[in-house]
Amino acid sequence: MYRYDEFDHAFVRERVAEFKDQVERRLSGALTEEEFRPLRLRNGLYLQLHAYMLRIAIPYGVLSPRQLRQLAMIGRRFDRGYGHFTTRQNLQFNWVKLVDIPDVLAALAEVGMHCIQTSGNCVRNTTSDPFAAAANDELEDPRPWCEMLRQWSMLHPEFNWLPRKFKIAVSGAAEDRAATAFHDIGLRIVRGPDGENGFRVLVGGGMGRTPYVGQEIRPFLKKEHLLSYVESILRVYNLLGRRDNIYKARIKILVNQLGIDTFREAVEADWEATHKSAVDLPEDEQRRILSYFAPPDLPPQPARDEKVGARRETDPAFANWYKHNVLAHRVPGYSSVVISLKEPGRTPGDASSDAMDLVADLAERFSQDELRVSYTQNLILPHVAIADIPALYDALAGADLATGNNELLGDMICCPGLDYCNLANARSIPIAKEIAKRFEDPARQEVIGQLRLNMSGCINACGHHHSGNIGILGVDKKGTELYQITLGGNPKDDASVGSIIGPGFRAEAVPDVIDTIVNTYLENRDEGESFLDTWRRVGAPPFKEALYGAR
Amino acid sequence: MVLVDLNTGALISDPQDVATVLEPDADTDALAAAAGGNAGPIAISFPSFVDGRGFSLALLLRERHGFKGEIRAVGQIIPDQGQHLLRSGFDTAVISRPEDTDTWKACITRMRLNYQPSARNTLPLRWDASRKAALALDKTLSETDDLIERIKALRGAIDGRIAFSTSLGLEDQAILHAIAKSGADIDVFTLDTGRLFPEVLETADLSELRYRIRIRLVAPDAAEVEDLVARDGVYGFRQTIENRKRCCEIRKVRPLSRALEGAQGWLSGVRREHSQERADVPLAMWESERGLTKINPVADWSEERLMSYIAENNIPVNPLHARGFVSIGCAPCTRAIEPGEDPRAGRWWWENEEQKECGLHLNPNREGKAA
Repeated sequence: MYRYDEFDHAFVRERVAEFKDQVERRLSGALTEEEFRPLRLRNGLYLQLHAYMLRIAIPYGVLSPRQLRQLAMIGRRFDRGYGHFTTRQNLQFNWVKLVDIPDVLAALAEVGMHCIQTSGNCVRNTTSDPFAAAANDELEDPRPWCEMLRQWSMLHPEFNWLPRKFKIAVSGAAEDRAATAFHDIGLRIVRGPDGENGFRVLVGGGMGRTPYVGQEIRPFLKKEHLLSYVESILRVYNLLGRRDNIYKARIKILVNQLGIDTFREAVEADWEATHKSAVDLPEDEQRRILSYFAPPDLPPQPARDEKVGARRETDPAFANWYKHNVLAHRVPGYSSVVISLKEPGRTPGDASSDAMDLVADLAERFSQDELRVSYTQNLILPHVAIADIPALYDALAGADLATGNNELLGDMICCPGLDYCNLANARSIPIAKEIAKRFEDPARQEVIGQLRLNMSGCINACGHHHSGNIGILGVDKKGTELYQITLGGNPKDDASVGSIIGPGFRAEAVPDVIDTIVNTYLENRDEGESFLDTWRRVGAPPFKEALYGAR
Repeated sequence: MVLVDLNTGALISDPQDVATVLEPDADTDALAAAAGGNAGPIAISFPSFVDGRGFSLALLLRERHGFKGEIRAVGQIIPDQGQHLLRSGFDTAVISRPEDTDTWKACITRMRLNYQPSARNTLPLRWDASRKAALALDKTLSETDDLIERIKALRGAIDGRIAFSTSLGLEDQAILHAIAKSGADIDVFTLDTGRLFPEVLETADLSELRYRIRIRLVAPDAAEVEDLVARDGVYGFRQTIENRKRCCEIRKVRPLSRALEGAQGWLSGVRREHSQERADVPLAMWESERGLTKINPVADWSEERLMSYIAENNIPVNPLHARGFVSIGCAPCTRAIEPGEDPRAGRWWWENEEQKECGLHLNPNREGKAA
């Protein structure tokens, strides 16, 4: 992974000092609250319902064991012994005191971490495939390009005061595990006409109030022009994006107002006029960054291990976990292991400091010192030898971290909701817990198969409800929490936004509603179909009938 | 009106009158007209400090319209934007609260580092950081003559893997000794070309026992070697220089590249006295080709200094040295030399002096000469 050198460390130190000064000027009254707010947001500091919330970037989801231990320490010392992994490869602490923030930032800087631009109307943390350099369907490792984007976006002088926030995702594999179509800019590494890799560039995707699937602005961009092309998109957006209405300020609105063709013309014209060689990374700087991402040296091992096979025969819980949470690796004899943070009854995405310490140890013991964080709010050990799997499983099971529900119904994405967030209209965590309890039986989840259930506590869609096969959106209707259901969303290739199925439901009805939807799918599915397949074939009528027919 | 110079944070006492005021929605024609007149300062207006259009406008004036005159920020701006303004192309800003003057100055000067090019810095400090760090390391190393101290200093200066390519020659043995004594974590390897003298491997074995450091043997790609020999013959490298260079390429250069992949530092035993080609190698330099810092910790040592270091420390050396071999490469391409001959005269002795590099240690100061 990328390692900070003296320059990167010094940069973060300067930024920490700058933020400290901004806090002091707010306290002395030199800065008004109106002036201070965007400044603190640019450093990931929110004022929530009960306390300050600090959002820490985990660039493209890559963490070292040392960094995770430091997060565990911060959770213990400055929060309540846990942290919350978000849907954008960040980590949030919900109970930090303002006076402790400088100490927390200093502790983060020690291990090459920061909160820079994790909020505010600027370029946010670039997200990526959590299985980068491990998955067997990868064309090219996306992480170096994410790192180049991270460095380029740090305090970019021209793009620090955009109309609205701006999110970029990069994927380098056949399967899109970074939801690139739901980002302001989505970058897919593809093979070009000359056999050389480059980027397919999508623009204008997003969730929130007005969900859109990103549209293709360029089928192929040479890799060396990544920064200059992204700059041109941002420049057109910075100049033309709406600033009169916060709900219409994202780039997706501009792209759809102008139409993708007109927007493309504007971007290409600006790019044509750009001195590309002055903006794009010089080759040696590219090489410097690429050199940090050499894949670990993994000597191929036998693809089958007798002990693992025997354990799967005799231990059903292990077999179930293995089936869902142990994924294929590019090197024979290895696998990537998903550590589910979705044990039924627990808050999705929360990890205790003890769990973080344990996972850091396991990454050192079993996964070449590497760790990843997924936008589906789980942790991943990317490079585990198959023979080590039983020992790893036992260690995880001892800490209740061996829930075998990756990509199943229980693997819900969920925002913090009304329990923490002051934007929320409705609770989401308690509802998620109720649903998890209803579907607790692994055998039932097994029958249901792959199903993405996503829930947001408000229209801002942090819980990605639009891209859930089943989406749940909490709304406030005249003081009552109501839950609106969308069906048929898909974050992957062939991305789609879910459709609202009908009037919303009260909180206590939601588990029954999900049960009804799942049963309708099971009754209607043909052999081998996933929920999405069935939905796309039969459409809304049987679901509407089942949910509202009796009324 | 209080006008601040964004370069220095000082106040400007006699400001020029503005020739044009651009609103944030100015289009290309408006920018061209303002820049074309060149009549005096252009002001760009900020209706609110969170409205960042003005930053792009200033950049376009500088980069697309070639405007060289003063660009002034007017309207609602805060001191914390001083750096953004300056780097986007602004020279001055009108500040609304005179009591903020000191804050403006502090904000402008506090962030020194940057990652991207801008209207003010075509070479971002980040891009040049590695080169500067290597220069600083070169200076640090030159401040001591003690090899162990040098090893400690370079280990401390470089974050990440440092690889040491040893040929088990005299210089390399001195360095290995210092690595062992310093306790520095360094990845030691030698290129096992398949044509090494048995004495080289004996020396490696002896050194591993003495220093308790594992010396990795890095081998060439077997299929490439098979193809080479099938094409050029067993000793094909004696026929032409091209053949010889191809042999070096497959047996040494490519395996070296593989061994250095991902390393942040590369230690080698190159000395200035070795040849004309190596006469001005630095102690440390940034190698942009490989994206790492190359360090030659005994570059400035004389042969006398080297020999006395080896003798003082009783360092194990290759027994071939006692038989007149100096610079030792592959067995078929190395011979002993006569007293007084150039130290590298025993390498590829049938070729001309200026071509005698295998391609591992290229001197960028002399590009074109060393192929």
